Amino acid sequence: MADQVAVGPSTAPAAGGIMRRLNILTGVALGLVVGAIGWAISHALLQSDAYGSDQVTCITMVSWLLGFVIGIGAFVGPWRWLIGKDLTEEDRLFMAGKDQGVSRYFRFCTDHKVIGIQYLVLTMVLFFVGGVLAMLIRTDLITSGSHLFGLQTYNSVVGLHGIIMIAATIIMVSGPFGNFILPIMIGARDMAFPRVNALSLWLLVPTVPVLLSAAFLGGIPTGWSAYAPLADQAPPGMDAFLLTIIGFAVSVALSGMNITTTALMMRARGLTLGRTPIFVFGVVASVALGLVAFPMFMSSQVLEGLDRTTGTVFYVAQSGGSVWLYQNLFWLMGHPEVYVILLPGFAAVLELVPVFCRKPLFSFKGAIAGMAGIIGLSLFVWAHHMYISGFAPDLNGAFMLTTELISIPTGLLILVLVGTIWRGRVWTRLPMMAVYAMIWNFIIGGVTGIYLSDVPVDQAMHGSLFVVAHFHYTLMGGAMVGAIAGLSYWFPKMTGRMLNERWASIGFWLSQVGFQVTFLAIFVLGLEGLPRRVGDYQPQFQTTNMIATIGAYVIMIGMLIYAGALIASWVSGQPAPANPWGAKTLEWQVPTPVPLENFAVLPVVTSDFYGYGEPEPTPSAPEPEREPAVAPAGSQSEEAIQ
Amino acid sequence: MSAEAIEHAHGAEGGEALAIGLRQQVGILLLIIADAAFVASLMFTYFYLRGLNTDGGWIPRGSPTLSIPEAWLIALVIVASAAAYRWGQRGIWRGDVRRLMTGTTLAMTLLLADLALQIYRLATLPFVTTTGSYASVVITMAGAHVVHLLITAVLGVGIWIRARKGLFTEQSHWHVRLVGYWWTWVAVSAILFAATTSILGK
Repeated sequence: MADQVAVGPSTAPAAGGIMRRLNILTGVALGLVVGAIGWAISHALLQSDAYGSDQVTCITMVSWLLGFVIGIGAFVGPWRWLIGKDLTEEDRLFMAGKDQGVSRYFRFCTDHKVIGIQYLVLTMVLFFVGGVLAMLIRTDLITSGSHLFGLQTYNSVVGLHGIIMIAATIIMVSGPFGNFILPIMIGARDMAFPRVNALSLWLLVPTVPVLLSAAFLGGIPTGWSAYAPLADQAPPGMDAFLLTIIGFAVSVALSGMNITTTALMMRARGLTLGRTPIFVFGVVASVALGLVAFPMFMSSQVLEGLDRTTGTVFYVAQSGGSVWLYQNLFWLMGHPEVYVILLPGFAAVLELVPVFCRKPLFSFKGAIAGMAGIIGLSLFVWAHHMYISGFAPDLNGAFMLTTELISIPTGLLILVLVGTIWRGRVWTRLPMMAVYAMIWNFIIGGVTGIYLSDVPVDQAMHGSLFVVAHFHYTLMGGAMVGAIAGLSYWFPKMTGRMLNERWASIGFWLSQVGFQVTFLAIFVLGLEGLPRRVGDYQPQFQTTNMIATIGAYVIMIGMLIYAGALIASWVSGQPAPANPWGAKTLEWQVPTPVPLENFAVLPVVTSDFYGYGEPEPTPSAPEPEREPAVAPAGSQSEEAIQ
Repeated sequence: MSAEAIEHAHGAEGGEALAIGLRQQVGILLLIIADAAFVASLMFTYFYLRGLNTDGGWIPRGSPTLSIPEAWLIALVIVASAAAYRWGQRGIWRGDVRRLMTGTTLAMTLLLADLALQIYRLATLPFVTTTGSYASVVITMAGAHVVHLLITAVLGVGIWIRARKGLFTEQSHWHVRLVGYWWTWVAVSAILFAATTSILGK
């Protein structure tokens, strides 16, 4: 045995192997083959069972998901670990996409920058699909009695729109920027677990067709919240929904673990918590919250899946189950999820406002306290979604209090934002314009949220379009505009090109005008008593509905212009300098495009990043100390760094 | 690059291996927290449905319940398995690879026995999923335990193979430690499941 101890790790052959042939096409191919096998076997064995169609649907979709992730190479690393043949250095560089050009974007690539871009594209695709569905909804509602599609189809379109947009907004900041920007921002070469990072992305990709397949399997007639017992009675499209959520929850948990570990353990020397950029705090707060909240969501869907496929009775009241159980599990995730979406968007704008105002962040500690307060309270507000469900009327007062309390730390973040802008020498570029829009939108969304937290108001407004307008102001007007600010800010670093701000600004402002028209009109509709999730309405609501639909078309035109500016700039924009904004954080101190290992030598941080307007160091000041690089797990060897 | 591989390449004193090992430790603990949230949601489900007892459907009149000693036996076997693994893990602290392999073999044997027990119990339960909400939760918790055991079995096989190949030394055994965390958590969750299902209520 002593001899064995002395031997180094067994390694696989240096080059070649099936690993190098795997890509998205092999993933799709194996996914289809394994999915077909899963369908054939389950169809032959289970179709006659009482729950047969749901069982066959679930087994087929799980087979597709497994086949896809195996086919793209997600399990190469774990398999090699299992058999004791660790990946070689050459394997790791291959997986990091070294010298592979564009093809690395279609592989199981472990480079955090590639994954960041993949997340960005995935998010844009999801927003496009969700946006098309939104336009279908608004077009259907343009006049009373007009039916683009049937009422049941309308419900499914609303459900698909809702879940796609929720998924997209959850990943829209922590996915692209949490992966591309955050590691560089803290002075790291990669994420803590590069392969897990790629896995979290590639788990999401095959769930997209699964979710979209719901449209062909009877739809999702429940809305995105998928309440039982409606979900128990829904067609197999519901199975597609719940499997998507389970895959999504696993992905979010892996991503949350990875980002949190990276931020906690891989900060550069000298990057104390007090010097760590606020964006890092926001993203970590979001993903850490998701780490605890999303397993609850997953649980709600696992139990739903068991009810549908094995006959358990979790949500079947006549057999001892309870629909309140579903609502509790769902909203235990569902409300923290709002902050999972909001915090990174807020953090992105808090990060860029000092750059464009040339002022230190107003109350860095206040912003941290605000985020901490939000995280803490967000776990104790879920039942405000259940005031009128009859779940626990005696607790309404308590939940009203906690919900109103959460406006204090949220207001603190707005205060920090406004305080930073106050008397700053504002450089009004597109990212900054998005900040203005976000403040406006979020204040409307936040204040209406305080109204809705009051039990008497909620009893009148719950289930009305007022709630729809409220959460669109919060998530779309607040968080998504924050993400647009972040994208406009980090676009040069991520793509190596300058964004065409003229066209992007035209598109952005057009969409903002449309947004106000649409959702202020929807507020009015809600106040007038029009319920949400209805595919038709009385004629007296027609004018306001038409205004809302016209506004939606303006949003669409604006977003298409913005997206066009993004794509055109990405393809043929002006080459970006390394630091076009004169920002101080580390991601702007590396070359553009960012090299594979980010830093030639790892930086040592000697001050915080918000010292705008403070005296520059005198020329005689010593250069910051630098140290030799240390490789992170799975990125490269010491030799390569040297 | 795994912590073990780096230590082999650059020597046992490498601060890099320590940094990576600590990083992996934080990662596995965070994953355990996520899994604990899932386990907590199942326990919440048990107590919530038990508390509501909608239409007397928690345990319908005349329905049998679980054998509580059996539930604890299943928990105790995986606790013994985790203890055996821990015993082996302490061996590698002193560079005793043989003890690590013996401990892992024993732990795997107990784990597989536990898996067999759990599956046998699931196959011979005196109720089915549709019997009532009690039956639904108990069967789901048993299923969750099976999933835990299967994941642990894969990890155990990996540790055993890597130990046999001499990839662990006195200085380099981070993965042994990390799998030990998971193994311990699986034992703790089994105790939680057993304790939860011991509280019946009508």
